[in-house]
Amino acid sequence: MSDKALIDTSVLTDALLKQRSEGTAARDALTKFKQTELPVYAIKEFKAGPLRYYVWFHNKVVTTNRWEDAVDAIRKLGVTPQRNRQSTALQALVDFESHIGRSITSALAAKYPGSDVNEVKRSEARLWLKTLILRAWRKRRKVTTRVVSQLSCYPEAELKINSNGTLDDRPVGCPVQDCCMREPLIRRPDALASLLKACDRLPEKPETHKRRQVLRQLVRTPKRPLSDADCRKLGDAIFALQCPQDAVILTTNVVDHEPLANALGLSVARPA
Amino acid sequence: MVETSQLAVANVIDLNERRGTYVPPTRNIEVEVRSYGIEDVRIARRDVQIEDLYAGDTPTAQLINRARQLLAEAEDFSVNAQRMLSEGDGVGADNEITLLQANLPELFFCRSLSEGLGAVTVALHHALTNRNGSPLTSDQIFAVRTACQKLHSNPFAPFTDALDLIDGLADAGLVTDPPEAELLSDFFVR
Repeated sequence: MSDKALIDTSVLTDALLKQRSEGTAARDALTKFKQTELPVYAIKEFKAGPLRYYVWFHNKVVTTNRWEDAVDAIRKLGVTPQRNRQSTALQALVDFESHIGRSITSALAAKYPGSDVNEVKRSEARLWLKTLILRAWRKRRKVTTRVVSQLSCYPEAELKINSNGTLDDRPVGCPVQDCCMREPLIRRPDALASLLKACDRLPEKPETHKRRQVLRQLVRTPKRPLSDADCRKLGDAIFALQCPQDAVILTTNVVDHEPLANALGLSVARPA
Repeated sequence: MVETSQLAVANVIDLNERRGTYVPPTRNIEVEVRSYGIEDVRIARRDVQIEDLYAGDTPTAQLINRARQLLAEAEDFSVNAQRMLSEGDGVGADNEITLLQANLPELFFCRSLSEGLGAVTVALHHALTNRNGSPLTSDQIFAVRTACQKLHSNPFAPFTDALDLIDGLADAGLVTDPPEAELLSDFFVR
C-alpha cells in the first residue's frame, strides 16, 4: 500500500465531527500513512456540506424556545431520507437522555430558580453544538500532514459568532464567475474524457448526472466559465484529478470514488 | 468593560471603592490610586483576590463565589485523585472523580458567568459520563485537573480558551460529546 494518501471530504468530516466509531476509524487511518494530504476543495465541501447543517441546527437551537422544537425542525426539513430510522433517532434526540439536567436534584433546582429542565437542556445543547462546530473548524488544517491544492478563488472565511449568539458561516462558496480550477482542468483533456467515461460506472443518481454534465462542458466548451455551482457538481472527480500518482484516495465512499480513481490509474482506500 | 488585562487601573474618587464591576481574570491586580484635589499622585499596590472585589450580597457575587468554590473543590478532587492513583489507591481516585462529577450540574447553573465555563462544564460532564463507570487514567485525570485549575483561576474564560481545555480532554482520550452527537451525525453527515 502507498504511504501517501489524499483525504476526501468524507474522511475529513468523520475525523472532525465524530468522536466515536467512524471518527476513531478515520483518525486511526490517517496515522497509518506517512504523508496525508488534504486538498482545499475538501475544506470547501466540508464547510458547504456537513458543517453547514450543524451551523443551521445550532442557530435553530439558539432561536427556538424549546430543544424539542429545534429537533423537530430536522424532521420538517426532511434532512434524513430513512423514515423509520428518522423517527427513532429523532425521538432519542428529543429525549436527550445524557443531558446534564438529568442529574439536577430538587434541592439544587430550588437553589437556582428560573432554570427549568427544558432551558438547561437547550442551553447545554447550544454549548456542545457550538463547541463541536468551532473545534471542528479550527482543526480542519491540522488533521493531515499537508494541505494542498490551494484554491485562489475560495475565501476560506472564518466562522463568526454574532452578538445574538448565532453562528455565521458565510460565505460557503466562491464569489467568482469562473473557478480557478478551470484552467488547470482543461489542460488535461484526456483525464477529463476518462472521467466522463467512468461516470457510466457510477451509481445512477442526480449527483452523477450533474457531474457528467459539467465534465462534458469542460471537454466540449473548455472556455466557458466554470461557476461555483459547477465546481461543486464535479465533487469526487476533483479528488481523482488532484490525487498524486503515488498516493491513494482515502475515503469512506468507495462506491463513488473507485470508478473515477481507477479511470486515472489511481486506487482508493477506506478507513478500517 | 475590561475582559482580560494584567493591569487594572482604578480611578478612586474620595477613596470610596466601587464594587460590582467586571473582574479581570487575574489573581493579583495592580491598583493605581489617584487622589483628586491634591497635587500628588500616589501609587499603591496590593494583592486583591477576585472575591475581594465583590460584595457578597449581590446575586452576581454569590454566583461568582459559588462557582469559584465549586471549582476549587473540583481542583482539590482532581489533585487528590492524581495522588491516590500514584499511591495505588484506584478506588479512592475514582471516588474523588465521582465527587467532582456530582458537582458539575450545580456548576452548570453558574454558566451565566462565561460561555467558557459553561462549555467546559458540559464537556467535563460528558467526558466523565461517557466512561460508563470506568476509572480515569492518570493522563485523563491530569487533563481534568488542568481544566478545573484554569477555570478556577479564571471563571470568566472566553470561549476560545474553553476550546483549548476541551481539546486537552479529548487529546487524553475522553469523549466530550454526548451520545446524541452520534445521532445528529447520522442526519447531517452522509
